[in-house]
Amino acid sequence: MFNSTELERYNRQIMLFGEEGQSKLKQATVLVAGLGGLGSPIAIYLAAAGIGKLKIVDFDNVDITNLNRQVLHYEKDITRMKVVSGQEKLQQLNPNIEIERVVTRIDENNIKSITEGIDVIVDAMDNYDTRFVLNSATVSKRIPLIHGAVSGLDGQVTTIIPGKSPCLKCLFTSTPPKEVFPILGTTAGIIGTIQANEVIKYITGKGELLVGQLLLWDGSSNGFEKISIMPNTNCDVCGHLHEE
Amino acid sequence: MSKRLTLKLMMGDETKKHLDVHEDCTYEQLLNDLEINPETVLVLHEGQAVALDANVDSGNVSILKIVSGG
Repeated sequence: MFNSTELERYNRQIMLFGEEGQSKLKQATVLVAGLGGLGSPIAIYLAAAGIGKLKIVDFDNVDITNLNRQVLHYEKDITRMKVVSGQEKLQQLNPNIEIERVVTRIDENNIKSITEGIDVIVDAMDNYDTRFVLNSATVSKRIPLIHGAVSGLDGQVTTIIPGKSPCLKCLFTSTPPKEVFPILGTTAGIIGTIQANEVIKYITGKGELLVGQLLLWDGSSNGFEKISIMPNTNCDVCGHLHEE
Repeated sequence: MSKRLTLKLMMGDETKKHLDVHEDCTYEQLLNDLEINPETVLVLHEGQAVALDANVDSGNVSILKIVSGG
């Protein structure tokens, strides 16, 4: 399953979950939806951890205003497609994994094909309209979704396992407005890293997931807080999974 | 008749307080009284999201600032 270089590369995490856990990571296909502030640390840590296949999706090009937080992209990448810039760095970081890039804006028409063969979806979007598209696919295909969002010094993460936890539509009955949000790179780094951590834990079965819990990060006071969140049995998207 | 809430405000600075509201107070009225724009927050009662036009229930109410970016 692993050559000697791979065993050496992953040695320090094989100490945590064994070759069996590493093998699960290698066999996994993870969708990183968005390759910006959150998508950058998510993709970097998943590539470094040895996820067998990363599917990276983004329609956008690198802009100079991205560079305070989107650490996959460098000044030389300005105007390049984010997935091209991202694939280049991720493949340099770990040539043993496969990267599939998709240049598109995720919507109801393409989500089915985008999520084909995916084991975990990671939400690295910057708006709730697209998040709700990911959320619907998560519920209909029973694929876990690791949600994250950031603004300024604040962030949130939750892990959605259809049937076991509330989905995004249980929480957000209407669509929060899209905004040009202030953001510090470190906020996206912290939240994106936690999202990657959730993916690794889910795949290897190591540790506890943020299922039915919303983790809130307040960077101004260095505070983490977990609050319990409950499914809505009347939810249009996942209510049928929670009927008694 | 009034209802007693334990209100947790998580809007940057976190505050927790007990509050009495009148029987037919809605979550939207509660937000108005607290001078909070309803579009900017998520309101949970015992961990479950609520419709803003619903009547406030006694118990634990959390008001969280919505973050949207990525």
